[in-house]
Amino acid sequence: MMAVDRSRLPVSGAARPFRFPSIARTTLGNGLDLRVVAHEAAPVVSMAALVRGGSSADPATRFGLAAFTADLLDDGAGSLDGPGLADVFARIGAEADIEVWPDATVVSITTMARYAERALELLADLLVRPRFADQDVERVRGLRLDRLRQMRAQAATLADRAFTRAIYGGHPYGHPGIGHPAAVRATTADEIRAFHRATCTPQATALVIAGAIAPSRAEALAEQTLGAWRAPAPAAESALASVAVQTEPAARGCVLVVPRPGAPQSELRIGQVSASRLTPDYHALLLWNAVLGGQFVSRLNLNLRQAKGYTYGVRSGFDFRRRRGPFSVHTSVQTTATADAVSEVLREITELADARPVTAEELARAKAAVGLGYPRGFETAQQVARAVAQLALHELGADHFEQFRARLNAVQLDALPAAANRHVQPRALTAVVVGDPDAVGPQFAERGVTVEIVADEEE
Amino acid sequence: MHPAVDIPYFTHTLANGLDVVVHEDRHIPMAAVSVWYHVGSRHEQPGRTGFAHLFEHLMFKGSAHHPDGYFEALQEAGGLVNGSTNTDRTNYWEVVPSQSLELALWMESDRMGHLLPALSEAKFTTEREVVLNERRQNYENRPYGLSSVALAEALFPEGHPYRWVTIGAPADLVASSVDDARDFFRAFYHPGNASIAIAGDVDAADTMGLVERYFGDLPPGPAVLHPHRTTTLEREARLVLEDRVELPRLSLSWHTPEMFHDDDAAMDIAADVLANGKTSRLYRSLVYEARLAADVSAMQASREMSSVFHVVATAVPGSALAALDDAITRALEELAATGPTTAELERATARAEAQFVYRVQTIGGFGGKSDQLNAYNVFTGSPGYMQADRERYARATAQSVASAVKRWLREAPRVALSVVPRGQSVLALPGSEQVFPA
Repeated sequence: MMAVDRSRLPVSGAARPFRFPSIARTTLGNGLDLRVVAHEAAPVVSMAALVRGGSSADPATRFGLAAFTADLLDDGAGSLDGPGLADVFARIGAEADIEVWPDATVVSITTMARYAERALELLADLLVRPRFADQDVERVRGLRLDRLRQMRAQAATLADRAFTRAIYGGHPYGHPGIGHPAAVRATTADEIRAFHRATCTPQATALVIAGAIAPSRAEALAEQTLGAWRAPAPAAESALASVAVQTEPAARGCVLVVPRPGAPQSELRIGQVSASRLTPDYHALLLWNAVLGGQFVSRLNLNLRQAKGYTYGVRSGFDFRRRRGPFSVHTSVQTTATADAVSEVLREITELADARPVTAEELARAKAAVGLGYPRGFETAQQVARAVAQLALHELGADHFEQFRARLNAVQLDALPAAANRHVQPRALTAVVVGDPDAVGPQFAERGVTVEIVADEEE
Repeated sequence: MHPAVDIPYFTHTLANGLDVVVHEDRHIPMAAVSVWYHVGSRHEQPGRTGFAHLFEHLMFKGSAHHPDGYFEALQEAGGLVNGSTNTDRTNYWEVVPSQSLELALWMESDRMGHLLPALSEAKFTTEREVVLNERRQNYENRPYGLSSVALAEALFPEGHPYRWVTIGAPADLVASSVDDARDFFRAFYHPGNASIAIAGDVDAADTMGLVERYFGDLPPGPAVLHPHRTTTLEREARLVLEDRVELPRLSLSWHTPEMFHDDDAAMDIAADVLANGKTSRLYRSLVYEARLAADVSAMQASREMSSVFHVVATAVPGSALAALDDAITRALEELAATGPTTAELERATARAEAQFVYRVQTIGGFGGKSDQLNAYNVFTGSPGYMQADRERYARATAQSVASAVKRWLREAPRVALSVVPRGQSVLALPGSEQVFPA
């Protein structure tokens, strides 16, 4: 047998071909956007209903309304109450999930393929026939207020909230999905019913069905369970719906400290309002971010974790949304290194913009890292359903997956700085520190950095 | 049972003792490599806790023929790479485009056979800081984060290998040295204490040949002594831990049988009946109807020597932990007396069966097929143990669940840990002793 050559790493051959999911797309008579993907890897079917709106649709006086409404969908719908629904989900081995994103609410169910019809009937009940019973509204209100209270003790949550508020202010992306206690207290059952009636309609919904199911059968089941869904005539225009905030995001460019006395670490967020999903710079930004902090081997992680040992890990990323989403660096660092970590992050971002731009070698490595592993995101029915739901949310072409690697590889080195500068400006970055003010304050003072102490919001 | 959840495989043991398991799955052009070493924090010595996990970090810092940049090489190939340590085992994995399978095998074999020449004092010292930060982030700076430390210290006596959590005590980490790492590698990191499973877009015969080529010349190591010790509590322990939390939480824990025991499956079913979702007994009584608790959960935490069953509930403002304790105790009494109803047993077994299907959807990573094959191989000696594992759930009856709950949760003492906001020990269960976990 040939001995192993340990003087060099083995050279990989050419990538093997991969067929990205083929999407059968139809529109039901009521306007519902239906996308079906046959995916036979396991005897599983995954379905995701994406309803446009999400937490950015919250009225200004009712932050948290979209999430409160979504939370109640599986608390009684159609002929079943909450425990009744939970019983059926368990019997078909289903995993049901309701998520509220900034731009959409997503109701998803993954189940054994043989139960696809039952699961789709339940999904239709959740979307079309939720009960919103008064006693359920009160119970869920209590649970959400308890959760808001517990979040006050979570450093990561405090950091996310302060960062979002600082960079977005009164913009629809400026509040957390769960909302604020005062608004959760004030929300009425009638407001929830009206919000659901106004926002959850077949025209606003894309349904993705992926898994071990023939497309023709999936389409027939969708027609059978959701074909008769009609948007109810809108009730008298709700007073709440008309006051959605629309202010433009404002970059701040400063260091904010949320006091957490005695905290054993400092939780950091550094970033700004940045790019939307449809930016032509999308692929360039993915590559730029891979170099900066989008993966384990990145300038930020090599510096802060591998070289200095300040943290268990640091990541950066763009949260691409329908409107301009945040770019942020997030990490948790040892208290004594707080100011140093902030200045190192700012230095890395600044140098990427001027003194040490992305090199040709870094770009080639980033293209390989991001592009070669891309098929991994299409392994399970659930992954496929979620990926296709993203296409629907952002109105991307059906060839998006097929074209992804070609578009990535087409990004030129000299295009990177301009693309990055359009969306990340080092001087506009806001840093949020959740940590012990007595320990971190002097560190910033020594460096001549002014910090602003901000309280966690209590509304 | 659904036949589609089978994981057909080929297996072979090399002359140096390395177990090899291969499974073909061509759905995506990726190959998953999983390497398990049968060593975890239970193989550590008191005073050097946390070492198995710290050592896992060092395995990514380079080996003799590739002294820097393990992540770099695999990342550039489009691979994902990670590892984890628990009380019983340490695993390492890559999911790479299938044309880079050899790269992953080269790297795994180089660090299995030739790690030490590349291990320096500087790498050791930096990585120890990283791990200390991991501990602060996930334990000290996380609400209720030190509960697991306090529970381990209360459940297990001095010197018991499960008495410390895998992350280890900060003082022990600080006291450890690069020489400890060298000794640890020689004792535990060799083919005879390892198992490699490969799943995905590969040819089984070719892959067997590649593994022989890359790993066949590594020397076998010394026999490994796997500690085996069980324990019982003599009496209930009531403890209170003050933490940076908003709401008081009660954790109740009992010793239960080891993973793959029939009663381990029965306790899984009991956990489902007690606290999985809106139909469960405790969710209904504590959260849905009475509004005493903000949340409740139950779990059978299965481990190789013995397991622990946990019930955890967080009180809403104004509700007392003693009221939660009463409700939980009543629910356990009822379950021990009459077992689950037919509907409860059907739900629990349907959910357990579905989990087996969901677990075979991916080829690798944490919990994919390669990881599963290794888990069965390392803990039972048979990569194909899944059918036997599933049958434990099919065999469970109302009577067997009732007997297990009675024996392990009703007739044996427990640890009751109250975690309360700082300065409010008065909110703990009466008679609780304050603890300061290491």
